[in-house]
Amino acid sequence: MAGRGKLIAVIGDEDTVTGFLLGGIGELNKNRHPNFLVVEKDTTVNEIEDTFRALGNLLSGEVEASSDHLDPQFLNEIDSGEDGEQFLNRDDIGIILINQYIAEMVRHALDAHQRSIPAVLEIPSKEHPYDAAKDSILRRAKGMFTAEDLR
Amino acid sequence: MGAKSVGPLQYASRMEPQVCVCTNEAQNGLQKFRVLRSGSQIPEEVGPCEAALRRRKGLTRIPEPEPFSASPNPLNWFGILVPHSLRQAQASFQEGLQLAVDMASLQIQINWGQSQLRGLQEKLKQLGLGAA
Repeated sequence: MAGRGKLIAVIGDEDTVTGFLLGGIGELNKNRHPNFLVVEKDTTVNEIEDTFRALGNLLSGEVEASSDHLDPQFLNEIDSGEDGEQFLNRDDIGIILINQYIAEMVRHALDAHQRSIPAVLEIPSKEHPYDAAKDSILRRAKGMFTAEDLR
Repeated sequence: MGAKSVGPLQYASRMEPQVCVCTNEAQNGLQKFRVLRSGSQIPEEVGPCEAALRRRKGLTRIPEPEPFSASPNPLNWFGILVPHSLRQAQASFQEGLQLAVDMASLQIQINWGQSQLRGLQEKLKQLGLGAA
């Protein structure tokens, strides 16, 4: 059965976001938060995480061991639901496109994302070519086999 | 046009998505993405990209595709006459979107394969321990 139409979100540098908006994916109106984030030099990691990280993952206790670096104030805001709408928590987003160099900044949030939808795709940018060794999916696949398994 | 002529300062204050994705269940039960452009017909779907419903005379109401997309072309944000290179860039990104959607479907399959493999490896370990 066909599912509902879902948006494609993009988190990237200016050129990446402009390009995909030219492609027609952008949604911007007063009813909902935009489905894109332009990451500039002064954009903080918290802002990127805030846009990306799912409220549901944190509230259900699926907090990674590495998340102890998270600002307690940030966690309090998440619990009280005061944060802005995050892409992972929206059920109207099917795919999140993210430049790989930005994905590296929020790698812990990406690795914690286990659901198949929204699908998170790491894409290259003009300044940073794609590196398969850094991709979340391929890194998971790499660790699945030992030398013994392949004999 | 100059580096500052094509950027976030030129974005429209209001945007309607012209491209969405819909999820279909493939034969193997996995979710598969498909590009949905505004104006294409998916009768049972409603969502951010729903087409306007129109009542047909004498028939049950079904959604019809709009004859022409009402959403303005994002290319118009950058002026009436834009360089050919910007049009080419738009076409490239539209092709790239189709590729990205295909990749997302493949990624779902990879994730499913990985989880199946993990399960089987666990079973194998348990069988190995049991035999021992």
